[in-house]
Amino acid sequence: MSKPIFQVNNLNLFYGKVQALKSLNINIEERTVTALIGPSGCGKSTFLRTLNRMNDLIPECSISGLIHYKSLSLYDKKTDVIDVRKSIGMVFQKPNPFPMSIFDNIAFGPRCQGINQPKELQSIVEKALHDAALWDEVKDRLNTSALKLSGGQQQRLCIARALAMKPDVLLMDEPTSALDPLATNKIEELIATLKKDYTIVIVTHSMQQAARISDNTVFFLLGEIIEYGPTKEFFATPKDTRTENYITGRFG
Amino acid sequence: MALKTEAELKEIENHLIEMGQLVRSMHVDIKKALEIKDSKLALDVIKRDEVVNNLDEMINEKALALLATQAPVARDLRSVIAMIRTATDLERIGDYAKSIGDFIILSKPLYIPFKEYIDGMFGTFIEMYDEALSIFVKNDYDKVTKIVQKDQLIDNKLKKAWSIVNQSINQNDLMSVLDTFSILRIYERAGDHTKNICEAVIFKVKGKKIDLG
Repeated sequence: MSKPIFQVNNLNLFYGKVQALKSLNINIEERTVTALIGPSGCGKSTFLRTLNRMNDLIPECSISGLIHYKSLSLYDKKTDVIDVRKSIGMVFQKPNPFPMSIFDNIAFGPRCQGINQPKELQSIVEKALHDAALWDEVKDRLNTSALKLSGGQQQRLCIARALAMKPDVLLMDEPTSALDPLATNKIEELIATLKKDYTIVIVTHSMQQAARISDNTVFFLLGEIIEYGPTKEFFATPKDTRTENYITGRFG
Repeated sequence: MALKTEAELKEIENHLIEMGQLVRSMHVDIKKALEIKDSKLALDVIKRDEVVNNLDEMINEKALALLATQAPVARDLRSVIAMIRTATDLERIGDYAKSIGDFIILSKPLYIPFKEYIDGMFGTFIEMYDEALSIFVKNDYDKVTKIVQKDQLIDNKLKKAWSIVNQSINQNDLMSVLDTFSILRIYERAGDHTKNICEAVIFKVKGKKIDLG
């Protein structure tokens, strides 16, 4: 096990009176891909969003317990949520490019941080597009609208946009569920390349995808973590009968 | 999807059981043919080996199709792998019956002092084989140790037979001793393959790789 980048201790989350996460304890390893799986409504996306405080935006959501990102206590009052989200980026299920040029999409974050030098922006945009394996496909049309890209390209653009903020962690919420198999394959290959430099936590409904791309897998059920372990063992010899029943499709 | 996977696994298992019964019949009949020097029966056994090979191929094809289309995981995945492995072991055990058939057809002389060893090793092997196939279907891995102990009996008999060869060997008997000893070796190897089936049962049920020695 490499060292943990996230340490989650006794995390509980309520939406109003409904408890969505129950006493979660988990360490997420640095520079690995961790897949979160489980049936709809099991809490996997909710958990993913706690890792960069996206649940802060939901009014009736209350959280107890601790999440440490490196040595930073994420839910400490002194913690700056903007800083958190700079280090911990997120990619969503549906590609959500801004209605502006490809270049401006990627430069948006850095500009918000006060970077305005054209040369510096150019180099940030180019590097992010290279890292997201999109550069060769868009280098001649950086000023065209991002909305003209295909679904798969838009999703890689969103990954590039997250990378432009030089994060440590990428959280991905079903990033390929709206994509065809070829575009999915490109994103999966990209994830394999990115894990050399980034920690990736991904929610996926595709068990095969979790098996293909992740180093560790977490199985959620009714807000609890049932099993967490190296993916190869998880899918070959799961320890818990509930995991076995879920991944073999004999659930319920 | 789970139902489809289960149905396909059952179908492969049925082919495996059929293969197991056929291989068993080959060994029982070839033993009989050896006793009464029946070349016709030996030839019939040799022909059955082709059916066994076809079943092995069919199991492999169906397992491959299941892996490709259903992407099984956990116990389903382990079952497919255990069945592929066991089909290979059964195919080899079938080959051994065929080798004894060649011995009979070529009218090689049996070295009489080894006769009781053949009887003993054959008997223990068949017991072990029946039990291994039974626990494979029932996933009854607790019985593995008992079955494997029988393999030790076979190995001991082989060692004892070899010591006889060492003690008193008449130059005139040399070829007959070597040929007949090869039959003893066959039961020893068949026992080893049966032990592999026991290992496959443990892998299938517990997901553990155990070397039973």
